[in-house]
Amino acid sequence: MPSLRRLARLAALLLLAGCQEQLAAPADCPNLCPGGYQIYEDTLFALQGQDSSAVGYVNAGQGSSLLVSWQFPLSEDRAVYKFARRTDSLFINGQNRAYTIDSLALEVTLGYRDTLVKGLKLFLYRLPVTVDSTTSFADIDAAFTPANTVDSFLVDDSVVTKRLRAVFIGADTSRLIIPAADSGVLALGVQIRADQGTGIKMGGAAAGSAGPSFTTYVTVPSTDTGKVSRLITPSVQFNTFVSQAPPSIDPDLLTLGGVPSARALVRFPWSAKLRDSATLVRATLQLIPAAPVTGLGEDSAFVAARAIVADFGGKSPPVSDASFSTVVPVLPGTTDTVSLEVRRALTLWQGATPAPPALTLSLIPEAASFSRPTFGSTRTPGLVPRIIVTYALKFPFNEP
Amino acid sequence: MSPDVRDLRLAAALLLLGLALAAPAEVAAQSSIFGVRGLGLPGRPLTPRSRATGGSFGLFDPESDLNPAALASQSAVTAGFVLTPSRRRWESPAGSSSIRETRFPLMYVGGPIPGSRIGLAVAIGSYADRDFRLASTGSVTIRGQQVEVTDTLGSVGGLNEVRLAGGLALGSKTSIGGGLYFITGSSRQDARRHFADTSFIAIRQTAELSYSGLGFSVGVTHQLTPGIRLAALVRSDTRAKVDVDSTHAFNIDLPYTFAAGVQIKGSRRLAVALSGAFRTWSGANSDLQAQGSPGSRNTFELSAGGELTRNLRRPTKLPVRLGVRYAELPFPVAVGGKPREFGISAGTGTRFAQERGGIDLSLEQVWRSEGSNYKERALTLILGLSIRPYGETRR
Repeated sequence: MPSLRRLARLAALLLLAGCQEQLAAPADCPNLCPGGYQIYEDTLFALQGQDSSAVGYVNAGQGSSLLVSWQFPLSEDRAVYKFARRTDSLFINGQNRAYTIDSLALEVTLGYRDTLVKGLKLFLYRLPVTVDSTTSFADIDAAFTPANTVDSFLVDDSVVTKRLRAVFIGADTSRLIIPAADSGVLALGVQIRADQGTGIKMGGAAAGSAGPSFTTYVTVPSTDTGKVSRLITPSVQFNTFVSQAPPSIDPDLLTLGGVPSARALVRFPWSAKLRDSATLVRATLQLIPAAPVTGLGEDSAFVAARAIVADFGGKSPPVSDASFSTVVPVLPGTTDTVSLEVRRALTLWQGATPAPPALTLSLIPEAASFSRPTFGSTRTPGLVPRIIVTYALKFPFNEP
Repeated sequence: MSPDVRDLRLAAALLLLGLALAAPAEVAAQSSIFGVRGLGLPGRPLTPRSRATGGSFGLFDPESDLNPAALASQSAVTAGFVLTPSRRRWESPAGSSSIRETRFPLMYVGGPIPGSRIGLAVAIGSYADRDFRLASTGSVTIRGQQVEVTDTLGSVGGLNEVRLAGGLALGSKTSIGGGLYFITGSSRQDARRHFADTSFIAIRQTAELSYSGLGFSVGVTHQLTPGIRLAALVRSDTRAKVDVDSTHAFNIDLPYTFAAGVQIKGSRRLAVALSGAFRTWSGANSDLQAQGSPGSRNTFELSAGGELTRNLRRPTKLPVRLGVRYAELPFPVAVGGKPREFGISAGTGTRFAQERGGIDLSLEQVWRSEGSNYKERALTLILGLSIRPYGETRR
């Protein structure tokens, strides 16, 4: 059947001959564009009197860094480290055995410094072991005397961050002798000097490997005649930094950061149309600085905006999912409007069970930055926080 | 080689040919440019045999979803479906596009009631196709700046009809029939907007438009002379209730259809037919315009065609069918537009397995236009498969 074979060949050829096509055809609008999106834009100003700052979220020492400054315009800060009790004996071969100190080492981490300020020098001081979270700058100021100096580090002008280590051997170990009255506890303070007023960030206990360490290298008898070497590294029991003149909160402004850290809660009007019918295309939160943002050199901090789960004022829990947070850097000296894209957060204000239409603002890192931006509020005309919302309403699918 | 084996091989080759033409089209669904507005492009639930004759045999064809009176002439219980892959090229002021689609415009089961003069059938047919995906670019002013946007609007689906119909032979010459239509279906629509400035998040919204309505038809066929057969049909469709995402949105009046045809058997080998139909789609005009559509208009169509039997002993083996058709389309793209189409068609078919299986093919070339702005050229393969499990029934 030659004709059948020809048909089969033709069919096979056609099977192979898939040709190009366009998945979408060009539309000739408006005739071939039924419906069409309409884009709308609203500016939502914060609700009058429904925005405020509150303090006390993160205390000094709970952040990743400790602040140390000298003749700094904002304040003068000093870091305090207190190590846990160092044991006075070691358990070797079934017995508690007294040890002999061979040497000691102290390590601290310089986390950030302003390299435009030269001649930076860190000083370590012995502090009374009674220091705790209630200790103020004035309480310990008297301890920062030459007689209490443990050691100092001259930091090369090019260094921004560095692990600093001081080793005490032989007679120098006396500088770190812990009196019996201190029960094996060592407390240190950090102060700086430089060619001009400046500040630095030091690694704190929360900074992991960048935290301070106090190591005692000892020899301990293992038997009646033998000895072994050991090292003792007490953990950091407590660390903080104290400020000479902590700034107060201005109730007319929205303050972020500082110590203890401040956060702001800003409530916005949210219409039923936006809640139920809008597809959010973009939402930009605009915060207008009330004054140039304070800070250290080029050390940027970040302003974070997050939706809240429930509105309990200053104790409103923020949404934990980071994808609903927006973070933007703020450099010291910033005077321009700080803009945050908060569309994702605002989607939580929509739906059947919407989150409260409010945003909590905070500074990252908290209690670990010299930056302390203050923004206008509804009590400062012209500086009111606002959200510019761009959205589309329901597409007119029913237009045939 | 026995005749049965030859028939099977012929049927297999035709089927392979049909599938080969259909296969590349399965990747996407794009209907006519004239299916974007209104309810879409009106469907043609006809068998390949009727489509090959331009539709002129439709009023006389018991397997087509058209004239219930023709059901009285069924000679066998028959089940079948029709597959229509097509390729088309649009031309509009926005540009041109080559697109494809595959539809299943007809499925049917029917047959005579043994010992009676009644034939019954159930058919599912296409009422209107609304498959499209359109893309456009433009710019919008947002926050005081011009932002480039790309929009796409797509629709998949359309309206279908389920027909329950019966035909009764009143005598040797005249048959009458009636049909009840349940009009149903949905189109899933998808609208997207992408912004060139990625600060603006792309929008995507979807909706499902569902349709429901009823229709009734009565028809008649009459053997005027041994060589001349007449057919007529009146059909009334009520209103299509349109829901958007399960919420009632609006109604659209559906048309009356008046159709008539004549089939002339000039010789034992040749049969020709001429038929025309008028549909009152203008009844939907105000409903559509109220929703922002350009509206609709009454339509008239005329078709003519013929079938040449090559083998008088087996008339179903590879007959030659030809047809021509002119039709107005109901839903203009632009306000005041008068879309229309002209098509030519040809086809053939065969039966196998002692006439229990059937394959019919036709090829249809259609030119559609609305003024000089909107043009379309479509090539459609109509592939029909049918089975008659009990063979011919003696009445």
